[in-house]
Amino acid sequence: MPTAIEIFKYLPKKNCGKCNFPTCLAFAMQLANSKAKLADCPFVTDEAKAKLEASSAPPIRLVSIGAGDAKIEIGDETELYRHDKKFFHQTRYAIVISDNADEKEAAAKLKRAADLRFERVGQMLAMDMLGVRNDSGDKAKFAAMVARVAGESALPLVLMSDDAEAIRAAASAAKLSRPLIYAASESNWQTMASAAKELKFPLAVKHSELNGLADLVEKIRASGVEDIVLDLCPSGLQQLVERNTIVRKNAVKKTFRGLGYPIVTNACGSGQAVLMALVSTMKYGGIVLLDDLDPAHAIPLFVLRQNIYTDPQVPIQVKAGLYPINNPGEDSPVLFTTNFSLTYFTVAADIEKSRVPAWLLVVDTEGLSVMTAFSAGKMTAESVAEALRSSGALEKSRREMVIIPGMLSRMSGKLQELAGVKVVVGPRESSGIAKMLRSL
Amino acid sequence: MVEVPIPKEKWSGKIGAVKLGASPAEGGSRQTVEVGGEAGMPFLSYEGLGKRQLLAGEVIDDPSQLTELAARAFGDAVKDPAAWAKRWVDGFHADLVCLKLRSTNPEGMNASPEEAAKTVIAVLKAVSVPIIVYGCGQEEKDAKVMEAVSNACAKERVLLGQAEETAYKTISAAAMSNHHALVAFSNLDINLAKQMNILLADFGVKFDNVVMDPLMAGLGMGLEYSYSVNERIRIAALMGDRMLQAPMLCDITSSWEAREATEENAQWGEAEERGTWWEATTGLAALMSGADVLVVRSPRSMNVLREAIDDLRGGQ
Amino acid sequence: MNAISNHDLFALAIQGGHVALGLADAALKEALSKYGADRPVEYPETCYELPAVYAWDGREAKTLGQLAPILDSCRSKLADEPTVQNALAAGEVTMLAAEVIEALKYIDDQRPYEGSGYMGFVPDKVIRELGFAFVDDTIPGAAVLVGKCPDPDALVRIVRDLQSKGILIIASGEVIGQLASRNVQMGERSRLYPVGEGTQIVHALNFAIRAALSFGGVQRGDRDGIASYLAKRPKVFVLEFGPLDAVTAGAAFAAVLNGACIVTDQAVEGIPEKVVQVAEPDKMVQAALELRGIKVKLAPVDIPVAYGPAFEGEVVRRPDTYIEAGGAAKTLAFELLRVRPEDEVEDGRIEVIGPDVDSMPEGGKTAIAILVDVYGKRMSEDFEGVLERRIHLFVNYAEGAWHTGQRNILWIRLSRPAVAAGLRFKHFGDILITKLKEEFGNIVSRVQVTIVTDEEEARKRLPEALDVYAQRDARVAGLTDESVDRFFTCKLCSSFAPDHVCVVTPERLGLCGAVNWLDAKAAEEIDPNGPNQGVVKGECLDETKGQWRGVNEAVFESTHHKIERFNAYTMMEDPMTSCGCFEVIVAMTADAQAVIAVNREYPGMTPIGMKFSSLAGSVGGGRQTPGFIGVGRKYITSRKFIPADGGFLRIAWMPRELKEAMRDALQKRAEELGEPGFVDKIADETVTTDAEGLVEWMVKVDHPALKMPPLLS
Repeated sequence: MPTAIEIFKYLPKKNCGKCNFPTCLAFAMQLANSKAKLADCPFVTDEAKAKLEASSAPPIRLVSIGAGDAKIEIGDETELYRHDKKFFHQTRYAIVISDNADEKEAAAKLKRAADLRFERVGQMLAMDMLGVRNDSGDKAKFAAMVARVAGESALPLVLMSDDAEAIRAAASAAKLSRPLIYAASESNWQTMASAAKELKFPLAVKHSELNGLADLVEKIRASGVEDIVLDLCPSGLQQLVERNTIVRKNAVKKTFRGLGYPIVTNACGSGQAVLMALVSTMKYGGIVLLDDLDPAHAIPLFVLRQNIYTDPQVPIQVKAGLYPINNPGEDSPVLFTTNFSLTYFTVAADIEKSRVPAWLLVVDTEGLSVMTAFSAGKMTAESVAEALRSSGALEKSRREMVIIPGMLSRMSGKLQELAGVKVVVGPRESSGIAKMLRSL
Repeated sequence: MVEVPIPKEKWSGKIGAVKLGASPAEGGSRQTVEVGGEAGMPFLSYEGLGKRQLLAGEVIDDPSQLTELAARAFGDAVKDPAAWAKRWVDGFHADLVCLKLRSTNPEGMNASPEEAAKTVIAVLKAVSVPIIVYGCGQEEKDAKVMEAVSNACAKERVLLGQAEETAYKTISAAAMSNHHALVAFSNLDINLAKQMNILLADFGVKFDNVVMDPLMAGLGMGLEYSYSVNERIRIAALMGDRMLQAPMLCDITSSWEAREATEENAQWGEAEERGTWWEATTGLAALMSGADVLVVRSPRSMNVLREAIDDLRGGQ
Repeated sequence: MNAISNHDLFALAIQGGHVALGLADAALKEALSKYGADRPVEYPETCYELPAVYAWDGREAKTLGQLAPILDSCRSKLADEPTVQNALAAGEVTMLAAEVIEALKYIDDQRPYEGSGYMGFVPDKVIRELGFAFVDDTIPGAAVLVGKCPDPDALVRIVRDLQSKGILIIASGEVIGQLASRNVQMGERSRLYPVGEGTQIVHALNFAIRAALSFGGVQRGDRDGIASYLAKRPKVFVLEFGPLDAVTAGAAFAAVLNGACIVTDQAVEGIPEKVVQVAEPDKMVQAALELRGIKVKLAPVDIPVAYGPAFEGEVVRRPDTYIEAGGAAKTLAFELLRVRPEDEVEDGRIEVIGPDVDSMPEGGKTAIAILVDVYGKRMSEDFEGVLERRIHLFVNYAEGAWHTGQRNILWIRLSRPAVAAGLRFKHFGDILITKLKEEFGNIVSRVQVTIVTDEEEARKRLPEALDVYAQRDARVAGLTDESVDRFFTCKLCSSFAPDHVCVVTPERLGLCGAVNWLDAKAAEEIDPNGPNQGVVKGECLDETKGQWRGVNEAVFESTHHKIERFNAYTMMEDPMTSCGCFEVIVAMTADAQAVIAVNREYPGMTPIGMKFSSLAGSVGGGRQTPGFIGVGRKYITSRKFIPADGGFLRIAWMPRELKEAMRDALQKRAEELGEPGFVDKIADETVTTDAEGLVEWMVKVDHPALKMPPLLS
C-alpha cells in the first residue's frame, strides 16, 4: 500500500471536496488507510488511476454476496497479522439446510439462523448466511428448498450443488440476490463457470490440492468468472491452518497471485465443525459452512470474531455510566475508571474478586487508558465531577466519597473541591483494589 | 501445471526448549517433558512444529472462590489437592498439574510455607507428571512459600510461578538453587516481556529454565490484545531476539470469570457448555498465537483443546 | 610512609602462597605418616567436602591420600613474577592450602576450636538457615573483617553500622578479640561469625563459596560458574585493618578471585574496583558498599505526617496555611541540587540554618533555601536538573506540605494540621535523603540536605544557585546533535504502540514532550535495562537528512525489525514514527509548500482538511507516515526542526493558542534566522482554516516558504 504522500502525488490537488474530504491530502490519508475509495475522486486521471490501482489493488479480491442490509463482503485483506494494521472483512458463518430436510428440520434451522443474534458492546453479533445443499440430487426439490429459504430469510445464500442445472433451476425458481455457488470442481467446472457467468453469481471453486486448485482457478478465470471463492478442502485443522496461511501469505506478499481470493471452508459433517470455525476465524477464513450452531458455541465463536476483527489502533470502548458490582447499595463506595475496555475489564474483575459491593463509574475518555486520558486532558477533575453528577453516582451511594485511580492522585485536591465529597486515592495498579476495598 | 509456492519464512531464531520434571535417574520421581522448540509460526509444519503443546490441569488448595460449573467433574476431590491432581491425570489425561497455593494468602487462610510445601509433596506423590506451582500473589508471602517449596521438592524440577518485575529475586534464587524452572510474568506488553527476561538473565537465571507468561486475557475481556502480543513475541523471537526465545505459558482459567461465559440465559444455550467453549476458545486463541503450555480449569475444555492440539499437529 | 606499590603487593601475595603451601605440605605429610592415606578427612556437617577444593579444583577430597595431588597442582600454579595474574593464582593456592590445613585440624577432633571463641568452619546449616535471603538481596551483602583495627571504638561503630544495614559479618584475626573486649555479641543470632585467625580466614571464603554451590546450582569444579555467580552475589567485601602479612595478602587475592573487593586502611597503590585504600575507619563501609554496588533497603520516610502519592494532589489553602514561603508570600525561596566531591557529602546529614517552623508565628512567612548535595560514583552534573525537579514531587507527597514551581520561583506552604502534628522544615531533609536514594540509588549513594530559613544566609547562598542555573541553561543550549556521539531511544509508551521508538537527540526531545536528551541519559544510568537506551550514532549516512548507521540499527532492533531507516532531519522520507502521545502534529500543507503545526488541545479544523483527532488516527500507531510527524512542542523552535525540509520557516499555520503560548520562543528563533517579523506571518484559525485561504494568506504576507522548493517533487 502506498503512503499518503505517494498517493497525493497522483491526485488533482484541486481540493474540490467532492470526495467528501476538504483537501486532496486528507483524501490521500484516508486512501492510504483504506478508509476511502479512489473512485470517489471525480477528477483523477485514467493514468493516475491505473498507477494507483496497480499499486493499491487488493491482493485478495473483494467478493460480495447477497444484497441489501444483509449483504456480506469477504476478501480484500492486506495483512498476515492483525497487529500490522487490521483484518478488514470478518469471517462469515452459514447454516446449511439439506434439500432432503423435512419440514420440521428446515423450520428449526431457519429459526436457529434467525435467533442467533446477540448484542455485545454496541455491536450486533448474528448468523450471516444460509446454505441449501442439494443432497437429493433432484433439481426441482433443490429449487423448491432454495425458494423457500430465500422467501423466509434475507440472509445471503450459498447454493450447494455439483449440478449446474440445479443451480439454474434454483435461480429461476426464485429471485436470488447474488448467492454464492458452491462449488466448481475438476469434473464440473465448465458448466458451473458458465452458469456463474450467466447468472452473475460468485462461484466457489474446490480442489483437494492447492496446485490443482490454482490450475482450476486459472481456467475458470479465463472463462470469464471474476468473483471466485476458494475451498481449499482441508482434511483437518492442521491443513486448515497451513493452506489458509499459504494462500493468504502468497497473496499479501505477492509471491503468487493466482489464488488471490477469499476462502470458504465446508465444516458440514465434520466432528470438529466448531473448532474449524474458530480456527478459520483466526486464520484467514472468509466463510465457514456449518450444519448447525448451538448458541452455547455460537456466542464464544461470535465473540472471538469480534475480538480478532477489532481495529488494533482503535481502543474498544465500553459504555460510560455507573456499573453496579457485587450488588452494591447506598453504603457501597464509588470508584471510577476509564471506558477503555481492557482497563474496565481488569478493574471490574478485581472489584468482583474482592466480593465487596461497589459502584464502578466509567468515565468517557474516548477509549484511552487512565494515564493517557489524563495526559491528553480527556480525564480531568471537571469531567470526572460531571460524570459523578450526571450518572447519579452520588445519590446511589451515600458514602460521600469517591475512590480515584492511584495514578491520578494529582487530581485529588481539585476533584474534592468540585465534587464536594471526600476523595480517596486508590492503588496505582488494579490488582491492589481488592485489598483496598476490604480495608475501607 | 501451476506450482503454488510454500511461503516458508527464513527465520533466524528458534524458541528454546525447556525441560520440566525429573526422572528417577536424575533424582526425581516422574516423567519428564520438554516444551518449546518451535522454528516457525504456530502449527505450520513446513516451518517446524517443535514440541507438543501441553495442557496443565488447575488445582487450587483453597477452592472457595472456584467457579462451580468449571470443576463440577471433580466432585469432592476439590477438597483435597492430591486427589484433585490425581483425577486430572488419571481421569482426564492432563499433561501437567498446575497447583495454585491460594491457601497461603495472608488475607485468607494464611497457610504457612511448611504447610504449603506439604501440599506440594502430596500432589507430587499423587501424580507422575511434572507440576507447576504458584503462590497466592502476595509478594512477601510468595517469597517464603517458594523458598520452602523449592527446597521441599529439590530434585523434581518443578515449574515455579512467578517472577514479576517487582518481585523476581527470591523466586529466581528458588529456581537456581534447586534447578527448577520458573515462569517470567509480564503484563500484556512485548517490551515488558523482554525486560522481564533481561532482568532474569541479569540475575543469573539461565534461559533454558525460563517459560514466559505474557498474560492471556480471556475471550471478550481483551483477548485480542493478548493474541497480538503473543504473535509479536513469537515473531520477534523467530527474527532472532534472543531475549524473547522462551516457551510461552498461558493461563486461560480466568475465562470462567467472564460474566457472559456462565450467566444463565435461555437464549444463550446451556451454561456449562458455553463456559467450556469460552475457556476452550481462549485456549485455542492462545495456541494459535504461540502458547506452549495452557493452564486449564475445566476437564471438558481440556478435552476440546487436546483434540484441537492433536489435529493441529497433524495427528502427531 | 610510602604506599605499598602493586608490584610489592603482588610479590607479597605470591610469597603468601608459598608460605601457605609450605605449611600445608608439612601438615599433610605429618598427617599422612600418622594416619595413612585412607584416613577420611572432612569438615563437620557439610555436603561439599572441602568447599574451596570442591568448587575451584573439582577433584574428590575425602581422604588424606586425595589431598596430596591437589597440593601438587597448587605448586605448579605458583609463579614468581609479580603480576596480577600470578597474585590471583597465589590467592587460589593460599585458599586451597589453607583449606587443607584447616581440614586436617578436624581429623581427630570434631570441635578443634571449642572454647577458643572461634567458630572455625561454619556448618552448612547456617547457610541453609539464612536461605535465599542470602542471595536475593534481602541480605544486602557480607563483610569480612580482617586484622587489627587501630581504633577499637571505630570498629564497634563499623559493626553496628553493618548490622543496622542487615549486612552479615565474618570476623577473622585480632578484630575478634577487640570486639569481644567491647562486649559485642557474636554468633549466629547476631549474624556475626568469628571464624578465627591466620589460615582460618578460609572459612569466610568457603562460606561464600557454599552459597554459590547451594543456591546457584554451580557444579563441582565449574570455575567459570563459581566466578560468575560470586561476581553477582552474595556481595562480599573485605575490610582489612593494619599491616598486611604474606598470608593475609594471599588470602586477600583469594577473596578477589571469589568476587570480593578489599577496602584497607593501609596505604596501597590499589587496583580500581578491587583493592582500595580508605584511611578513616568510619568511611570504609560506605566505600565498600559503593564499590560493590550494594543498595541498602531504606526504611519508609519517617515523618510525623502521612507520606505517599495519595497526597500529591492535595492543596493547602491560604486559611489553612501555617507558614508560607515564596510565591504570594514574596519571600526569597529557591532550591538547588548539586553533585559534590565524595568527602564533602556526609550521607544522611540534615542541617537547618535559621529557625524551624516551630519557632515561627502561625500564619507567617519565611525565606527558604533547600540545598541538596549528592555524591555517587556515576552521578554527573548533567543529572542535577533531573534530580532537582523531583524535589517538587517528593515534598508534595507529605500530607500538609505543598510545593510548586522550581529553581528560584518556588512557592511552599505547610498546613496548620501538619505543623500541629509535628511537621518541620527539617523533615524535608528526611524526605529528600530517603526518596532521592530510593529512586536514584544507581547514581546517588550519599545525600545531605541543608535548609536555610535565615534570610541573610539564604541571600548569601543565592548567587551560587543563580550561577548554577545559568550554567545549566548554557550547557543545555550548547548541547547539539553534533556535539554528542550518543542519542537515546525511548520506549516509554511502548505498551500503546509496541513498534514505536522515539529517537531523542540533544536538539529533539521525545514527541510526548516529557523526555529530553539529559532525562534519557539519566534514566539510562538509573536503569540500564529501562526504556531509555543509549545509541552510538556511528557512521553518518546522510548529513542533510540526519541518518546514521548506528541509529538505523537501533531503530531496526527496537521496532522489532519493522523499520530499517530513520531520518532525524526530514519529515518527508523515513521520518520518526509516532506512538500517539505527541503534543503536536506537524503536517505538510495541501499545496506541499509549507507545514502546519497543530496541538492536541486544538479541537477545530486545520487548513489541510483534518482535525487533530483524525490526523492523530492516521499518524499514530508506530508507523512512519511521510509528510507527517508527531513532535514535542519544544522541537518546533529547535535548530534541528526539519532542517532538510526548509526548517522553521516552513511553518505557515498554527492554532492561535499554541502560537501565543510559544510566542517568545518562536520570536527568538525567528530573529535567529534573520526574520524578526516571521511569527506574524504564521496564520491561525482566525485567519483561515482552509487550504485556499492559507495560500492567499501566504502570498499576502510574502511567507518565506513560498520561495522554497515544494516539499514534494
